[in-house]
Amino acid sequence: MIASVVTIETEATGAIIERAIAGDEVAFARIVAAHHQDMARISYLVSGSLDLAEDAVQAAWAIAWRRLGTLRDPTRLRPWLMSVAANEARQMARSSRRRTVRELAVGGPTSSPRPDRAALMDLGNALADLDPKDRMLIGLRYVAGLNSEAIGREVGMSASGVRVRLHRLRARLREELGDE
Amino acid sequence: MSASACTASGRVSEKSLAMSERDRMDAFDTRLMALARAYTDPAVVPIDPLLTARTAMASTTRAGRLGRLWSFGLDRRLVRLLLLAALLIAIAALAVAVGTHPSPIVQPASGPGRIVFIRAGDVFVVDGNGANERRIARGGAEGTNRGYLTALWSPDVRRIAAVRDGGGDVPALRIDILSADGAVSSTLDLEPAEPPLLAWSPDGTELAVASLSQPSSNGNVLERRSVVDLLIVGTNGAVKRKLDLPGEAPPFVVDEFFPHNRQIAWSPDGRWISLPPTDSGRGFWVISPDGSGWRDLLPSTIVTNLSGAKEWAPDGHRIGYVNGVGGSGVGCPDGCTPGSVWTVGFDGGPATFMVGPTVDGDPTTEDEQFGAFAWSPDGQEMAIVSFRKTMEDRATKSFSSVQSLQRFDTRLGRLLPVTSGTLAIRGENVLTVTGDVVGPSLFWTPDGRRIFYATNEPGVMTIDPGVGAPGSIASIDAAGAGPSSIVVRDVQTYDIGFPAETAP
Repeated sequence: MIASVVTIETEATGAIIERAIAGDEVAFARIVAAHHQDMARISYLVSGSLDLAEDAVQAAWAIAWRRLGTLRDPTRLRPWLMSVAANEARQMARSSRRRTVRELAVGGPTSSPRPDRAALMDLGNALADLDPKDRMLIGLRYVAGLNSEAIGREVGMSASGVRVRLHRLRARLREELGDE
Repeated sequence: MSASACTASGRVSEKSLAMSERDRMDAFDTRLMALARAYTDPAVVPIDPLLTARTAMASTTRAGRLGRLWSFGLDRRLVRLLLLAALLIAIAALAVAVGTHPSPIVQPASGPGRIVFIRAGDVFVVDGNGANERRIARGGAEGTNRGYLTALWSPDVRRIAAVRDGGGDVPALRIDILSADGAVSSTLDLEPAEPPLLAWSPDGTELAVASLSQPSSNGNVLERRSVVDLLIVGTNGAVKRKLDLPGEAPPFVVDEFFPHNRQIAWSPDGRWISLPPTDSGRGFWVISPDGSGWRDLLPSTIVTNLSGAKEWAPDGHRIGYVNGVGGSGVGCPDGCTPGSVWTVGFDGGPATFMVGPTVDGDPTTEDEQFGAFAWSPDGQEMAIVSFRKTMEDRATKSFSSVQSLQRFDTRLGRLLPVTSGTLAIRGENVLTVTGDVVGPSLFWTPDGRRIFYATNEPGVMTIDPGVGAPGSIASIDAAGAGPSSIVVRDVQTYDIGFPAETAP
């Protein structure tokens, strides 16, 4: 396993997608490099399991490869990939037919000054009480950073419907995590 | 009763409260985003994007077949049940066939592999990670007695075919069949001649032995030995048959500066043996092990293959070979590109160019040429040694040589980019390795993750024609994820086997 240093800064996303659709393995690998980490994050948040998350991301890439040719708007690449990963994680979590015990894994790279362990545990418990589809919305909004319009397009909801649902979820999480 | 923000009169305005609530919501959003990122950090592990991409692209075929089932309106769960039922039926049928004495389940090869090598005329073995090095057989090298010269694992990595020189004014050669712990189980005495070429049959029951003539020069610096006889020998050391070489073919030759391993090779299905290149540089010959016939796969093509590197692809349908290694024009008549890698289909058809030198127009360097190679276990890639000479002194025309180990994807038809690691990488597609890579001896591990190669480390290089250049064996992560590591030093020739594990 190696860290990727490939970026897509030097080539337009549309051109990379076209090459990938044409079977250019390297172009597809560049797409993988750019988006895999956030897809893995979302999959873990939705499924609550590192193993399921890994399976979900692998499945998501296979789906992405198969359906990449249907993507008409290159600006939708990231939201689309995130929703594919989230959806796979949701289906896997549902088919596991058990309430996921969310173990707080330690280690791994941190993206910011680390919140305290208690806060992370509270978040894990709060997520465990949510419906998988709600976890999907949380992941797309707070991990992938997508706005309501982008989320709505990918999950088949209106933008206002996404806003309302996210508002309610946020209020619930504020209550469980405490509002600092 | 709605809350209000205080005004100067002490009353709190609603507008102030609304902004305050919005600020608090924004602050919570920011906090939740940071929490979510921190919470999901454990899912972030380094990956190989190219490997992930290839896995996804390869899985499309399987998904596609299942997809067609979905298109017939079959419920996913029903299909899963049908597949499970088919599997159970197959298992039951197997149990019946096996009877009361089931065969042990053979697991795919795993572990670091096992290296057999020659050092100072003795036979040694060592694990592929450098552990457990030990001498298993003494060749008695002294004076004109060179002791053991080459050693080759049987396919099951349980026996070793080793060529031994008894010394004296007239070389007395023999082939010892050794057990993995060095015990001699059988011996075949050879006519006084040069060290022969050896190749085990895929089932490990026979050994192809190509005896060679004394070296002769064809006018350039290379000395060549012709194949005199091709014998099929049993593991008890007895000659089972002698094969007649194709009468219409020119002599088959090997030259001095490349190790002898794999210059003859059985096809994976055991039906054919590939032969060394011809002295004329034409044709690509294979012969059947039962002597019933032979075939020229490229009858009208010049294939000057000085290194003798010919490798059957794992599927047995293609053979890769190197054309014209040795410098521009040396031993490469008009019509071939020196230092290029080709494949030919076993069932006929023209040869297919894989990779070759690109002209860069720089007069101070020769074009990069491609030499030895090895197929990846899945047959999709080749690990290839390339070398480029850089002119150091125009007056004396002395060159230094830079050799590199690269990966070539046969489906895409291109060298693969290597993502960064801890290696010094030159150019886009190059793994820069320690020392120089010598000979055609490259080995992939069965899982495709590491590549073994022979290398002359700086300051260690010596040449001993006829037995291979003593050097070191190194291994490297196939994706370039780390530096190469020396496994064992002071090696004359070597072979690597990967035993399959057998469950009790």
